[in-house]
Amino acid sequence: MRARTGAVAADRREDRIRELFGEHHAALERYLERLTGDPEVAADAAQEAFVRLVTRADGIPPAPGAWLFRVATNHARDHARTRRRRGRLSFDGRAAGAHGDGAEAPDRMLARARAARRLRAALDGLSPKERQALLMREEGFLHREIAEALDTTTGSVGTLLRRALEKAAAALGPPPEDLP
Amino acid sequence: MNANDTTGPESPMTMHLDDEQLLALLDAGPGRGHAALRRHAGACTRCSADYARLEADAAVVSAWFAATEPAPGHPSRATAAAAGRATEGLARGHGAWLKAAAALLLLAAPAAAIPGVRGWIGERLTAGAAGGGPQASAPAAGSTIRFIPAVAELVVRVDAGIVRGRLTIAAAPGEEARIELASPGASATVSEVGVTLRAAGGEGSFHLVVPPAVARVRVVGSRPPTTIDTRGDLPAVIDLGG
Repeated sequence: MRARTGAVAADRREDRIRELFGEHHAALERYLERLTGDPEVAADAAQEAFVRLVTRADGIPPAPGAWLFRVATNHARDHARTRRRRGRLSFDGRAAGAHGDGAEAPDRMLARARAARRLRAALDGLSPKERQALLMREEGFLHREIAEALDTTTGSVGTLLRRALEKAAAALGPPPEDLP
Repeated sequence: MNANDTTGPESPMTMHLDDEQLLALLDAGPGRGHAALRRHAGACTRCSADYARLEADAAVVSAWFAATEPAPGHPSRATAAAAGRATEGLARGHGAWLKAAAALLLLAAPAAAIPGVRGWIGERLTAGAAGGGPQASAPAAGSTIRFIPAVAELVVRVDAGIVRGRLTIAAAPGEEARIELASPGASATVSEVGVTLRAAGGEGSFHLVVPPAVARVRVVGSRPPTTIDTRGDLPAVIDLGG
């Protein structure tokens, strides 16, 4: 009976992790790519976060989305420090290639790559916490979830987001007209 | 709220909105909740101006994010919410199924085996990113989950909740297997050693296609348990009911 109960619990956990993967993996990788500018670090950190979720002794945390983003962010940050010594990668190529629409016209791909460089520069102008808060907001996280991931208060998240939006908007200027 | 009171005695609130409150209004969307804050923002010149500035900044930043969206088929949660779409894993674009299958491998792996499994996952994530064709990774009638079996004997576990249904099994060339969810409410989970079939409402039909690398399909949970030799017994039809 105990074995059956254990099997049911394992099934439920498996289902829940599967749901979490479907819900968060693509967003997590996109967020990490924007955060670090490095698709390899992003993929590795997203994978690492799910590995840690699966092997977590305490089971699934109460706010799993925020937890995944926090774990992945910490991993990406540590990993990026090492990788920076070997030179930084741009995500422009990936945006136009592996992730992009193969049918996109070359001029649009070029415009998108230019826009990505500019956005990258604007994001680099933010503090790490401002950047993380802004990117999590872009992924639709609630302020309390962002606060959880940043280990801070919702009041601080408001301040961080406002500052991040002001700085980013000033650095970016009007949106590109040649892209949707 | 900050401590500066310049709204006047007739104002519904006596202090200005702080960043958290302005952001809460902005992110809630027009007309949604925060009635007191909204009334104040409408009546207070300073808060109204602060809100307009914040809204303009947010619009600029969102437009840049949209313009540089790395994966057109993967709208961000914010974008998806704005468009009124669900944010489920379905229809997320190329490679989603491989990623799902790869992640599920983790579930069956003991902690000590993680490094090896991660290498396998890495290969499949790469393959998934480069692969093409519409795929599905979540339960829905008509969805197909594709995966590459890592074992010669594929175990198909039929959940006890299925009281009626049918599993058909066929062979196909290549290295991929696929499971098609042929009825509403049917779902399947792919793990390192096999597939688990489930069905909301107790009725589910599935179509499994296996590559030559799979020599046997063992169906457990059906009555009676069945083992199919893929070299001689295909195509096969298995009644999942009692």
